Amino acid sequence: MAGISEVFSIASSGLGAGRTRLQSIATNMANARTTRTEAGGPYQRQVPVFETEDLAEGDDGTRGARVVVSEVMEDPRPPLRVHDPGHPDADADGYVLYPDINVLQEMVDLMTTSRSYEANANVVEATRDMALQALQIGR
Amino acid sequence: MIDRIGSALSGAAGGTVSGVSGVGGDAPSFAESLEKAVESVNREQNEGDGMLVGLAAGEHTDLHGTMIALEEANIALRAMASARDKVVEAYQTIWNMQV
Repeated sequence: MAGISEVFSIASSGLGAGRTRLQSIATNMANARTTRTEAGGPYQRQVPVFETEDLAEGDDGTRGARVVVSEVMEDPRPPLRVHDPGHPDADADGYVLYPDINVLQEMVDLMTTSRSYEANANVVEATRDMALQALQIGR
Repeated sequence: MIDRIGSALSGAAGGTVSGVSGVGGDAPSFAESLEKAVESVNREQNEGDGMLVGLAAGEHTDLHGTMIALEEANIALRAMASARDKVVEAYQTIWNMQV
């Protein structure tokens, strides 16, 4: 039987993953027009990558899996070349390299992240309710 | 369960508090079981409390982890209370038995 603490742990990892995605989205939105970075060049969009982390096998042979952040990678798409001669970071031809960030796409990601966080919170609530229902048996 | 209450009762009837343990053979006595349950519930409560204090003090930012720990502690407490209710109910059934 999968214990409730395992389910709590899995849902908790899902909530954590949501927070990591939220941080990446916030960073991408805030730096949508950033042309300078420590590494040089324009800001590169962050993409968090997740992987499973198997839990120990339960009494019934089933096995749950938590989600963990594998790494936060950089979007490999090249930066946008925009003609903006007045910008201090413009090259000799008047072109500035801007990050290729679509704020609309980030907004959609934000909505899906918010919904997935909500879903994981619902899993926690349902698990708690089921445990309390079990305690009500025979009352 | 009745066995265990019986052993707890006979221990108590003997007037020795330490006699409560192990009267009914290998099975842990009611007092022992209760003590273990209380310890375990207390551990969970302390864990949740510790996380809440850490969150308030800014030592960590695991908001949902803290809430889940508190919720787990709450369920453990209710489970213990349910078990206790069942045991007391069984005890009272026997206590009121006409012989």
